[in-house]
Amino acid sequence: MTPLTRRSGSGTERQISVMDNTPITVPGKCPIAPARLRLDLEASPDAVRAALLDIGDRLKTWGLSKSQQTDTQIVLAEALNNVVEHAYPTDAGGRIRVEISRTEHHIDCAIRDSGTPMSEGPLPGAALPAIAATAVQDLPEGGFGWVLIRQLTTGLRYCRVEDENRLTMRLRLG
Amino acid sequence: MNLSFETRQGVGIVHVEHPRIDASVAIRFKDRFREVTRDAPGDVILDLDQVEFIDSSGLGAVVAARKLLPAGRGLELAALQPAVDRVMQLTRMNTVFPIHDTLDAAVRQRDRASD
Repeated sequence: MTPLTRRSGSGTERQISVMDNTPITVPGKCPIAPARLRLDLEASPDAVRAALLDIGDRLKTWGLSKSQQTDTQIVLAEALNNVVEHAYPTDAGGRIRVEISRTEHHIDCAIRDSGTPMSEGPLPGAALPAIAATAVQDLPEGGFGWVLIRQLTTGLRYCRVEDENRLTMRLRLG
Repeated sequence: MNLSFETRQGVGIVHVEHPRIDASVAIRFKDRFREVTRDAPGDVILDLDQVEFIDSSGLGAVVAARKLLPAGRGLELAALQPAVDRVMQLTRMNTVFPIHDTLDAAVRQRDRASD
């Protein structure tokens, strides 16, 4: 019996055991196995950066295109920075729990924290900060985070559940 | 977060020697930019070749850097990696900053402009 490792079109590795006289059928397309990643991190810019680097390493193994990996990283960076900046504005800090899962057609990100709730009303970022024809000194230095999240997600939901903020974001694949 | 400065054919170049411009370095980026460009004579090209990722805080720091330059001097961006380019496009900041594929292209273009 000789184990062979082949790389399929979708980038997943399969092991095929070759036995005498055993017919082997290779499926035209392998189903993509669901993948999941959970992280629990301190709410600080440095911890967010470290988490994003870990997430980036893991996303590379999920059979995503480079641009899908990039978009997932951008969305998570903005959502996590928002928690650090707005949910835990004091030095006391807190924890952030992140769960990322990949199914055949989507990446789903769930972010939970026990910080200050978001203010009621629609989520921010419905419009880009005005930049056209403005003087250099009037260019906006902020207000881009939610814009990026909104542009890159097809599903976005925030809930306050008991003492917890829960943000879920969905990116469509393909 | 380190930024280095050089002058090539009369144009100031700031090299970002760090893989990320994000929330944890945004303030340092702005401070270092102010230091290295203090004595720069004209326009400045920001060489982003080593920068693999930028978030909205980092983008805000680049905009802030642009405002630090005295009136009449511009900031151009060169060598954007895919994730940086993506953020620039999505926020329309590509309409604010002149963007060049490579640092050499940015310098060459200025050469031609001054001919």
